This record gives sequence, structure tokens and C-alpha cells, in this order.
Amino acid sequence: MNALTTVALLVLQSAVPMADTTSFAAGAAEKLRAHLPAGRLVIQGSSDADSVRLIRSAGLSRPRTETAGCVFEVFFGEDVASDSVVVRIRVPSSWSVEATGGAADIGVDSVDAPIRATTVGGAVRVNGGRGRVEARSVEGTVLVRGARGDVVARSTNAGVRLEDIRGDVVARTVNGAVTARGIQSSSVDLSTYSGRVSYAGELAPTGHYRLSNHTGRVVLGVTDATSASVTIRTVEGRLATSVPVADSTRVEGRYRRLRLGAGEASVDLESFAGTIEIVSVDWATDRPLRDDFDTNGLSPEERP
Amino acid sequence: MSEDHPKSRKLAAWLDGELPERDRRELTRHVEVCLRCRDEVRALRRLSGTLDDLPERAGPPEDAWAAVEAAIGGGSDADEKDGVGWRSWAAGITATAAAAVVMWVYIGSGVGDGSTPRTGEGRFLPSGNDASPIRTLDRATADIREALRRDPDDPYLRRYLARTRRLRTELEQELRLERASRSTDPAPPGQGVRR
Repeated sequence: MNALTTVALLVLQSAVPMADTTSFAAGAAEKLRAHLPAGRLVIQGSSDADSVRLIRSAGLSRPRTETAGCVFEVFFGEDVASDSVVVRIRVPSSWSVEATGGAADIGVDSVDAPIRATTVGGAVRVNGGRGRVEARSVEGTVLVRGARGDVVARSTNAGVRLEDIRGDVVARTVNGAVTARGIQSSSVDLSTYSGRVSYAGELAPTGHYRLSNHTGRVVLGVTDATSASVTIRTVEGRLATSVPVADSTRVEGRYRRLRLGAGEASVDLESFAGTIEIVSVDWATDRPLRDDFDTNGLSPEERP
Repeated sequence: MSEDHPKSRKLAAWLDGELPERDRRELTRHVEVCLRCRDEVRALRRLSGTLDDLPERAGPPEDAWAAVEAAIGGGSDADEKDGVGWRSWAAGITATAAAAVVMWVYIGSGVGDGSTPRTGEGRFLPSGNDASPIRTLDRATADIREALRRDPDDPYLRRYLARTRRLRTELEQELRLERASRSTDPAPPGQGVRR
């Protein structure tokens, strides 16, 4: 091997991302608790896995690990400060997961037990899941997709997006949009203060649905088959509907009740100063509801 | 929220009904969703003396307002109980970091005091003071109070004000938590495990 080839190999090696892999016996553990201060933490459930496999960016020091009772803990210290750090942890899909990050993005995929993912500066993305999902970020976007259990999704300063959920839903933020599509639930509560709130999904006959903001649009997508009693509350805002409604009744001045179809589901639409819209949704394209989502904090491949 | 805010002159023209119909509609839509411009509109209205549909004469006496405050002060909606808890060592770390951000935002809003915490390579930086959640909640609170002065018995407004105040309190609690734990090192694995 001549010197030129050696140099070329060294350059090539330095350009290829390297990773360190460590495996741990699962033992009696049934739950993963993991913390990463910065970068990206991805937890992957696998039905084939009977151990924990941890892949971390090359050069990243080994985390402290411990099994305590039924909990397997992976802890990266506060010396981890680079956004480029990536940690992937594969666990049995039957494990529940509790993941935290300071500035880190957190992703959880294919876990069939309760999930709690909490971060501050990063985004949270949860794909799948068959237990309760709690996803929380202060500054980043929260995205939950394909969950089959109750979902509580919260941000403070960014948007929340929910897709294809079967379970009760609470989604909140202060600054940012809240978007929910493809929801099958009898209890939905979506709210923000500054931003758009939109919902397109099932309205179960006995279900209760609440969409609320202070400023911005509140958008309810409906079809010809929708059957709901809708209460509209606004102080300085207005109502705009592009679908036929029945029994539009003004209640106590600024409040209004109206009926869609047979009026089975109960829907509250509230906006202090924004526009409340009831629009006909084309399910094939979801056109009225697709735009306007803040993708801050999500990688390009994760963006809707 | 839109990033492009109209100039005061244009807002004034909008207030005075001097804009072409198309511009008027555009600006109306913008003001509906932009807290900053809504504030500016209020200021302009006060300046020009054309405000307010909020008649001072119609406001209840101050003691009536105290009664409203008392009535809504202790409310607690069941739907607020589902928040993410702050237990365990790991959650404690996050709470500290969350509070640090909240504190930054708090300070940025001009409400708090103290030194600016570490910003984590700029990732914690909000896009500007106008994006501060505390400020958003304060503006919302002012709006609701204004409306309640006109209609003190409105149940929706009462509930809404209680909810908004509770949310603001939660953010402040995170701030206090951060202050309390600032000098505390994170516990190692195992010490905070729930069994």
C-alpha cells in the first residue's frame, strides 16, 4: 500500500460516520429509562430482540447503565453537548419506555407498551405504540403517529401534530399549531393560544371533541356523514362554515349552537379572537387541513 | 403567525377604513392571528381616541372584579390532570432543563430577573420575545379580563381565564423548580428508580 492510498483511506475513514455498538442482557427488565442531554436519541422496539443493543456515535463515552428491578437505565452525562450525537437503543417491543432529553430530539418507534418521551429543546416523534403515549417538548415540535392507545402530546413553543391515532387524545401548546388527522377517538381535546387548531377524523356518536385557541383559525373538517351538535364560542372572532348546517341557534349573544346531520357527537369550537371554520374535507387529499404545520425540530424525513 | 408585520401607517389606514377592499381583507386576516399587531391596533385606537367598544362607563366597580377573581381562582379542571409528571431522576433532569428554558423565556419576556442560563448552542433560543409563551399567556389574560369587565358572569370567559392562569402558574412552577435544583447534580442511575 503506497502512501497515497493510505492517505486516501484515512480521509475516507474520517468521512464515514462510525458508531460503537454495545449489547446488554435484558435480564428481568421490562422497561427502558434513557437520558441523553443533546443530539438525537432513537429508541426502537423489536419483537425479535431479547437483549438491549446500544449504538452510539463514535467517540461518545459509554453511558452509565444499570438494571434496577424491572428497569434498565441508560444515562448519558451532561458532558454530551453536541447536536450531532446520535444514540440508538433497540429493546424488546414489549418494554415500556421513558426517554428524556435536555436539548435532544427523541424518537420512539414500534414500542408496544406505554411510552413517555420528554425533552426541552428538541423535537419528539413517536411512531406506533400500543400503550399510552405521553410526548412533551418545551421548544420543539411533537409528532405522534400510528398510536393505538391514549395520547397526551404537549409542547409550549412549537406545534403538535397527531396522525392516525386510535385512542383518547389531549394535545396542547401555547405558541404553535395543533393538527390532528385520521383520528378515531371518542374524546379529543386540542388547544393552543397562538396558532391554528385543526381536526379531521371520526366524530363518534357518543364522543366529545373540543378545539380551542385564542388567536388563529379553528378548523373542523367534516363529511356528508358527519353527525354532531356543535357549540361555537367566540368573543371577538367569527364563524365561517362552508357546509350546510341545521338549527343554527344564537345562545346568549356571542354563542351559537348548530347541528350537522343528526347531531350525535358533541363538539365545542372555541376561539377568543380567531375564525372558527367548519369545512368539507376531501379525505383523499385532506386539502383544507394539510398546510400550516410548524415542522421546527423535525428532520426532513420526519416532516409531514 | 406571520413574520411580516404591516407598518403602523397601514394599520392606521385599516382602522380608518381607508384601505382597498382586498388589502382590508388581507390585513383583517393577519390581525386576527397576530398578537403583536393586535396590540398595536389597540395602541393606535387608544391614541386616536376611537377606542373602545369597551365602554369605561359599562365596567363594573373594582370590587365586582375582585368577586370575579375569587370565583375563578380555585378552579381545577379534570382535564388538566393528565400532564407529564416530574418524577424520577431522569424526569428531574428534564424538569431542570425545562425550567431553564422557561426561565430564559421568562426573563426574555421582561418579567423575571437574574442571569441568563446557558442556551445550549443557541438551540434554546426562542425566535424572539414575541414568541415567549409567558407573554402570549399574559396577552391572552389581558384580553379575557377586558372581556370579563364587559360580561362578568360569562361562564366560558371565567373558565378560560382560570385555565390560562393555571397554565401560567405551571410555567412559573417550572421556573421555581429550576431555581431550587440549580445547584443540585443529577442523581446517578438507580437512585431515583420507581419500583
